[in-house]
Amino acid sequence: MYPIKKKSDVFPVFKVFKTQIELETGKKIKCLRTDNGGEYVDDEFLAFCKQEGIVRQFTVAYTPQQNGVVERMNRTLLERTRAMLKTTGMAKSLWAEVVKTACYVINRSPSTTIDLKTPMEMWKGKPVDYSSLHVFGCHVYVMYNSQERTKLDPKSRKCIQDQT
Amino acid sequence: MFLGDTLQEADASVAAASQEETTMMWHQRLGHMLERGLKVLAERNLLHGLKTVKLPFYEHCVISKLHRLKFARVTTRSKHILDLIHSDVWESPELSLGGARYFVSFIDDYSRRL
Repeated sequence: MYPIKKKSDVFPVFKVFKTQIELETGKKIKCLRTDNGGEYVDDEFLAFCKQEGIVRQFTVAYTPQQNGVVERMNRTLLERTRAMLKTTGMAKSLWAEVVKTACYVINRSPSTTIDLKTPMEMWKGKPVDYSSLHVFGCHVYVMYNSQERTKLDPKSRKCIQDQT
Repeated sequence: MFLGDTLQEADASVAAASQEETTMMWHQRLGHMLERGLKVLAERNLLHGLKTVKLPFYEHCVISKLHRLKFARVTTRSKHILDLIHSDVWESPELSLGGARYFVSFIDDYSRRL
Protein backbone atom coordinates (compact mmCIF):
# COMPACT_ATOMS: atom_id res chain seq x y z
CA MET A 1 0.00 0.00 0.00
CA TYR A 2 1.58 3.24 -1.16
CA PRO A 3 0.02 6.71 -0.86
CA ILE A 4 0.70 8.71 -4.05
CA LYS A 5 0.15 12.27 -5.20
CA LYS A 6 -0.78 11.61 -8.80
CA LYS A 7 -1.89 8.60 -10.82
CA SER A 8 1.26 8.71 -12.93
CA ASP A 9 3.17 7.74 -9.77
CA VAL A 10 1.77 4.21 -10.09
CA PHE A 11 4.46 3.12 -12.54
CA PRO A 12 7.51 4.31 -10.53
CA VAL A 13 5.93 2.92 -7.35
CA PHE A 14 5.39 -0.43 -9.06
CA LYS A 15 9.07 -0.53 -10.00
CA VAL A 16 10.07 0.13 -6.37
CA PHE A 17 7.63 -2.53 -5.15
CA LYS A 18 8.86 -5.04 -7.72
CA THR A 19 12.56 -4.58 -6.92
CA GLN A 20 11.98 -4.79 -3.20
CA ILE A 21 9.62 -7.74 -3.20
CA GLU A 22 11.66 -9.77 -5.70
CA LEU A 23 14.83 -9.24 -3.72
CA GLU A 24 13.05 -10.22 -0.52
CA THR A 25 11.61 -13.45 -1.90
CA GLY A 26 14.13 -14.37 -4.58
CA LYS A 27 11.11 -14.88 -6.86
CA LYS A 28 9.83 -12.93 -9.85
CA ILE A 29 6.43 -11.32 -10.41
CA LYS A 30 4.77 -13.30 -13.19
CA CYS A 31 1.43 -11.67 -13.78
CA LEU A 32 -0.22 -8.34 -12.98
CA ARG A 33 -4.00 -7.92 -12.95
CA THR A 34 -5.49 -4.42 -13.07
CA ASP A 35 -8.34 -2.43 -14.51
CA ASN A 36 -7.93 -0.29 -17.64
CA GLY A 37 -7.05 2.92 -15.82
CA GLY A 38 -4.78 5.27 -17.76
CA GLU A 39 -2.03 4.76 -15.17
CA TYR A 40 -1.93 1.04 -16.03
CA VAL A 41 -2.22 1.19 -19.83
CA ASP A 42 0.61 3.70 -19.97
CA ASP A 43 3.07 2.91 -22.83
CA GLU A 44 6.18 2.98 -20.66
CA PHE A 45 4.55 0.74 -18.06
CA LEU A 46 3.51 -1.77 -20.75
CA ALA A 47 6.96 -1.73 -22.33
CA PHE A 48 8.57 -2.29 -18.93
CA CYS A 49 6.35 -5.32 -18.21
CA LYS A 50 7.08 -6.76 -21.65
CA GLN A 51 10.79 -6.40 -21.07
CA GLU A 52 10.53 -8.00 -17.61
CA GLY A 53 8.32 -10.80 -18.91
CA ILE A 54 5.35 -9.87 -16.74
CA VAL A 55 2.02 -10.95 -18.22
CA ARG A 56 -0.61 -8.20 -18.00
CA GLN A 57 -4.27 -9.06 -17.39
CA PHE A 58 -6.91 -6.39 -17.78
CA THR A 59 -10.50 -6.52 -16.63
CA VAL A 60 -13.31 -5.85 -19.11
CA ALA A 61 -14.00 -2.10 -19.21
CA TYR A 62 -16.30 -0.87 -16.43
CA THR A 63 -16.37 -4.31 -14.83
CA PRO A 64 -14.76 -3.98 -11.39
CA GLN A 65 -16.32 -7.35 -10.51
CA GLN A 66 -13.41 -8.95 -12.38
CA ASN A 67 -11.03 -7.11 -10.07
CA GLY A 68 -12.68 -8.66 -7.04
CA VAL A 69 -9.65 -9.37 -4.87
CA VAL A 70 -8.43 -5.81 -4.82
CA GLU A 71 -11.88 -4.22 -4.71
CA ARG A 72 -12.83 -6.36 -1.71
CA MET A 73 -9.54 -5.44 -0.06
CA ASN A 74 -10.35 -1.75 -0.54
CA ARG A 75 -13.55 -2.35 1.41
CA THR A 76 -11.67 -4.04 4.27
CA LEU A 77 -9.04 -1.30 4.28
CA LEU A 78 -11.58 1.50 4.36
CA GLU A 79 -13.72 -0.17 7.03
CA ARG A 80 -10.71 -0.39 9.32
CA THR A 81 -9.62 3.10 8.38
CA ARG A 82 -12.99 4.61 9.23
CA ALA A 83 -13.11 2.75 12.53
CA MET A 84 -9.65 3.96 13.55
CA LEU A 85 -10.30 7.53 12.42
CA LYS A 86 -13.51 7.52 14.44
CA THR A 87 -12.04 6.10 17.67
CA THR A 88 -8.97 8.32 17.62
CA GLY A 89 -10.92 11.39 16.55
CA MET A 90 -8.15 12.23 14.11
CA ALA A 91 -8.57 14.65 11.22
CA LYS A 92 -9.45 13.03 7.88
CA SER A 93 -6.25 14.44 6.44
CA LEU A 94 -4.38 11.75 8.37
CA TRP A 95 -6.03 9.05 6.24
CA ALA A 96 -2.74 7.94 4.68
CA GLU A 97 -1.25 7.06 8.08
CA VAL A 98 -4.42 5.26 9.08
CA VAL A 99 -4.66 3.29 5.82
CA LYS A 100 -1.05 2.19 6.30
CA THR A 101 -1.87 0.94 9.78
CA ALA A 102 -4.98 -0.81 8.46
CA CYS A 103 -2.80 -2.49 5.84
CA TYR A 104 -0.34 -3.58 8.54
CA VAL A 105 -3.01 -5.20 10.68
CA ILE A 106 -4.90 -6.77 7.75
CA ASN A 107 -1.68 -8.56 6.80
CA ARG A 108 -1.70 -9.96 10.31
CA SER A 109 -5.42 -10.87 10.49
CA PRO A 110 -6.98 -14.23 9.59
CA SER A 111 -8.67 -14.33 6.19
CA THR A 112 -11.27 -16.85 4.97
CA THR A 113 -9.76 -17.14 1.47
CA ILE A 114 -6.57 -18.55 2.96
CA ASP A 115 -8.32 -20.89 5.44
CA LEU A 116 -8.16 -18.42 8.31
CA LYS A 117 -4.41 -18.13 8.15
CA THR A 118 -2.90 -14.66 8.03
CA PRO A 119 -1.29 -13.20 4.89
CA MET A 120 2.03 -12.79 6.72
CA GLU A 121 1.88 -16.43 7.75
CA MET A 122 1.32 -17.46 4.12
CA TRP A 123 4.14 -15.17 3.11
CA LYS A 124 6.77 -16.18 5.66
CA GLY A 125 5.57 -19.66 6.57
CA LYS A 126 5.49 -18.95 10.29
CA PRO A 127 2.98 -17.30 12.64
CA VAL A 128 3.12 -13.60 13.37
CA ASP A 129 4.53 -12.10 16.59
CA TYR A 130 1.88 -9.79 18.03
CA SER A 131 3.77 -8.81 21.18
CA SER A 132 4.82 -5.38 19.90
CA LEU A 133 1.35 -4.23 18.74
CA HIS A 134 -0.03 -0.99 20.14
CA VAL A 135 -3.40 0.69 19.83
CA PHE A 136 -3.25 3.10 16.91
CA GLY A 137 -3.35 6.71 18.05
CA CYS A 138 -2.72 6.02 21.73
CA HIS A 139 -0.49 8.37 23.71
CA VAL A 140 3.15 7.44 24.07
CA TYR A 141 6.01 9.19 25.83
CA VAL A 142 9.09 9.31 23.66
CA MET A 143 12.40 9.82 25.39
CA TYR A 144 14.78 12.49 24.18
CA ASN A 145 18.29 11.23 23.51
CA SER A 146 21.13 12.85 25.43
CA GLN A 147 22.11 15.11 22.53
CA GLU A 148 18.61 16.60 22.34
CA ARG A 149 18.44 17.87 25.93
CA THR A 150 20.42 19.40 28.75
CA LYS A 151 20.23 18.10 32.29
CA LEU A 152 17.33 20.35 33.28
CA ASP A 153 15.19 19.78 30.18
CA PRO A 154 12.25 17.36 30.17
CA LYS A 155 13.25 13.75 29.52
CA SER A 156 10.36 12.82 27.26
CA ARG A 157 7.65 14.27 25.07
CA LYS A 158 4.07 13.14 24.54
CA CYS A 159 3.34 11.72 21.06
CA ILE A 160 0.69 9.76 19.24
CA GLN A 161 1.37 6.12 18.37
CA ASP A 162 1.71 5.18 14.69
CA GLN A 163 3.81 2.07 14.34
CA THR A 164 3.90 2.00 10.58
CA MET B 1 -81.58 -16.85 -31.80
CA PHE B 2 -79.84 -13.69 -32.92
CA LEU B 3 -78.17 -13.39 -29.51
CA GLY B 4 -77.11 -17.02 -29.66
CA ASP B 5 -75.54 -16.41 -33.05
CA THR B 6 -73.36 -13.60 -31.78
CA LEU B 7 -72.34 -15.63 -28.77
CA GLN B 8 -71.35 -18.48 -31.00
CA GLU B 9 -69.38 -16.11 -33.16
CA ALA B 10 -67.64 -14.60 -30.14
CA ASP B 11 -66.72 -18.05 -28.85
CA ALA B 12 -65.40 -18.94 -32.23
CA SER B 13 -63.22 -15.83 -32.36
CA VAL B 14 -61.72 -16.61 -28.93
CA ALA B 15 -60.98 -20.11 -30.07
CA ALA B 16 -59.49 -18.78 -33.27
CA ALA B 17 -57.03 -16.58 -31.45
CA SER B 18 -54.01 -18.81 -30.98
CA GLN B 19 -52.71 -19.50 -27.50
CA GLU B 20 -49.54 -17.66 -28.50
CA GLU B 21 -51.52 -14.48 -29.24
CA THR B 22 -53.52 -14.84 -26.02
CA THR B 23 -50.34 -15.26 -24.04
CA MET B 24 -48.96 -12.13 -25.66
CA MET B 25 -52.10 -10.18 -24.85
CA TRP B 26 -51.98 -11.15 -21.17
CA HIS B 27 -48.22 -10.56 -21.14
CA GLN B 28 -48.83 -6.98 -22.23
CA ARG B 29 -51.91 -6.46 -20.06
CA LEU B 30 -49.86 -7.45 -17.03
CA GLY B 31 -47.10 -5.00 -17.80
CA HIS B 32 -44.83 -7.47 -19.59
CA MET B 33 -45.08 -10.16 -16.96
CA LEU B 34 -42.52 -12.95 -17.10
CA GLU B 35 -43.54 -16.29 -18.62
CA ARG B 36 -43.30 -18.09 -15.30
CA GLY B 37 -45.68 -15.59 -13.70
CA LEU B 38 -48.21 -16.06 -16.49
CA LYS B 39 -47.99 -19.83 -16.04
CA VAL B 40 -48.73 -19.56 -12.32
CA LEU B 41 -51.83 -17.45 -12.93
CA ALA B 42 -53.02 -19.50 -15.94
CA GLU B 43 -52.82 -22.72 -13.93
CA ARG B 44 -55.24 -21.18 -11.44
CA ASN B 45 -57.58 -20.26 -14.36
CA LEU B 46 -57.36 -16.58 -13.53
CA LEU B 47 -56.49 -15.39 -17.03
CA HIS B 48 -59.54 -15.71 -19.30
CA GLY B 49 -58.94 -17.70 -22.45
CA LEU B 50 -55.39 -18.66 -21.57
CA LYS B 51 -54.81 -22.39 -21.31
CA THR B 52 -51.29 -23.10 -22.45
CA VAL B 53 -48.77 -20.34 -21.87
CA LYS B 54 -46.38 -19.91 -24.75
CA LEU B 55 -44.48 -16.66 -24.92
CA PRO B 56 -42.59 -16.12 -28.17
CA PHE B 57 -39.34 -14.13 -28.46
CA TYR B 58 -40.32 -10.56 -27.69
CA GLU B 59 -37.72 -7.95 -28.58
CA HIS B 60 -39.10 -5.11 -26.42
CA CYS B 61 -38.62 -7.21 -23.32
CA VAL B 62 -35.10 -8.25 -24.29
CA ILE B 63 -34.13 -4.65 -24.97
CA SER B 64 -35.73 -3.35 -21.80
CA LYS B 65 -34.97 -6.08 -19.30
CA LEU B 66 -31.57 -7.50 -20.28
CA HIS B 67 -29.30 -7.84 -17.30
CA ARG B 68 -25.94 -9.31 -16.45
CA LEU B 69 -25.71 -12.81 -15.10
CA LYS B 70 -24.07 -13.37 -11.75
CA PHE B 71 -20.30 -13.46 -11.87
CA ALA B 72 -18.94 -16.95 -11.33
CA ARG B 73 -16.92 -17.51 -8.20
CA VAL B 74 -13.25 -17.83 -8.97
CA THR B 75 -11.96 -21.30 -8.16
CA THR B 76 -8.41 -20.93 -9.45
CA ARG B 77 -5.83 -19.82 -6.92
CA SER B 78 -2.14 -19.17 -7.34
CA LYS B 79 0.12 -21.92 -6.08
CA HIS B 80 3.15 -19.77 -5.37
CA ILE B 81 4.10 -16.37 -4.06
CA LEU B 82 4.25 -13.65 -6.79
CA ASP B 83 2.46 -15.77 -9.42
CA LEU B 84 -0.21 -13.10 -9.67
CA ILE B 85 -0.38 -9.56 -8.30
CA HIS B 86 -3.65 -7.62 -8.14
CA SER B 87 -3.36 -3.86 -8.25
CA ASP B 88 -5.71 -0.91 -8.06
CA VAL B 89 -5.71 2.81 -7.33
CA TRP B 90 -8.07 4.26 -4.71
CA GLU B 91 -8.91 7.95 -4.81
CA SER B 92 -9.41 9.83 -1.57
CA PRO B 93 -12.04 12.54 -1.25
CA GLU B 94 -9.52 14.46 0.84
CA LEU B 95 -5.85 15.35 0.42
CA SER B 96 -3.62 13.78 3.04
CA LEU B 97 -1.32 15.84 5.25
CA GLY B 98 1.60 14.65 3.14
CA GLY B 99 -0.17 15.74 -0.06
CA ALA B 100 -1.35 12.31 -1.25
CA ARG B 101 -4.61 12.06 -3.17
CA TYR B 102 -4.52 8.32 -3.97
CA PHE B 103 -3.16 5.07 -2.72
CA VAL B 104 -2.05 2.21 -4.94
CA SER B 105 -2.27 -1.33 -3.61
CA PHE B 106 -0.51 -4.49 -4.73
CA ILE B 107 -1.93 -7.77 -3.44
CA ASP B 108 -0.19 -11.10 -3.84
CA ASP B 109 -2.82 -13.64 -4.92
CA TYR B 110 -1.24 -16.59 -3.10
CA SER B 111 -0.65 -15.08 0.34
CA ARG B 112 -3.13 -12.17 0.04
CA ARG B 113 -0.41 -9.97 1.46
CA LEU B 114 -1.08 -6.32 0.79
